[in-house]
Amino acid sequence: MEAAIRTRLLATAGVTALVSQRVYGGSRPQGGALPDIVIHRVSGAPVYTDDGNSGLSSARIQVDCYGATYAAAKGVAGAVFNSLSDFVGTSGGVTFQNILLEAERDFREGGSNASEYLFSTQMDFEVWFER
Amino acid sequence: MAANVGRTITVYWGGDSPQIAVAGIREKGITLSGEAVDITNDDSNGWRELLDAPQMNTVELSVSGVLLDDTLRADWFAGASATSRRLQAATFEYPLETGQSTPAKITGDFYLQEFAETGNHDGEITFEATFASSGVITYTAGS
Repeated sequence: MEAAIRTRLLATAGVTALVSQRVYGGSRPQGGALPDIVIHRVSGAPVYTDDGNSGLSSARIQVDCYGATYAAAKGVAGAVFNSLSDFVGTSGGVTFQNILLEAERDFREGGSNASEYLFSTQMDFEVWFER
Repeated sequence: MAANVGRTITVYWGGDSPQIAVAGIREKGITLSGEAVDITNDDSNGWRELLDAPQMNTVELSVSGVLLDDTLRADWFAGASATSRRLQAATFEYPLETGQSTPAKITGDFYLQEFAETGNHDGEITFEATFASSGVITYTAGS
């Protein structure tokens, strides 16, 4: 499913216009070009019944949008919102029943070299998909 | 009797043979009720007395879970037609214990009294159903 989220983002022109193919899982490459996007799965599990897996799962996906400036990070976050929020359909072979933005917050990386600080907007999506 | 997880209880509903398990259940319960006959009188010294015979025995079955098919909805609506399906056989079957080949079960006719479906925008569609007994309900111990 995480790969299918990446596929969806890379299939959205508004996203690739800003980050090209720089959508990563887990962490961004040190010193990599900006802006970019990092995807984390925070939690999630299938919906089980007495019969076993119902075929429906939910997961919380955190999408971190990085930029060299606050405005750049916000621009990427806006493109991610347009790509994922309320998305219903198929991407990367996965059927998504709904994707809901549940939280959005700003963050700034710390460090000793202020000129290399990164700005980011972190977005938490609740993802309902078939598996 | 060993402890068992809840999913090892199975609820079957309908006249098919073999009887079909209700799909998508996540929680199920059964309540056995026997309304007592109050025979308190002037000789009771101020204490309630009950006859050792029930006024009315009833069994209520309730299930809830994730909506996976339309069986119960269709049966409820069919209840208004000539081929009523609201009153059908139901079975509450317990898990097989060690050494048993036949599980314990409670069987009888039940009336599909209530069926509710709920769909939240950020969750799975769920259902709840309540079945009320009609006539004699039988308990068969596992063997």
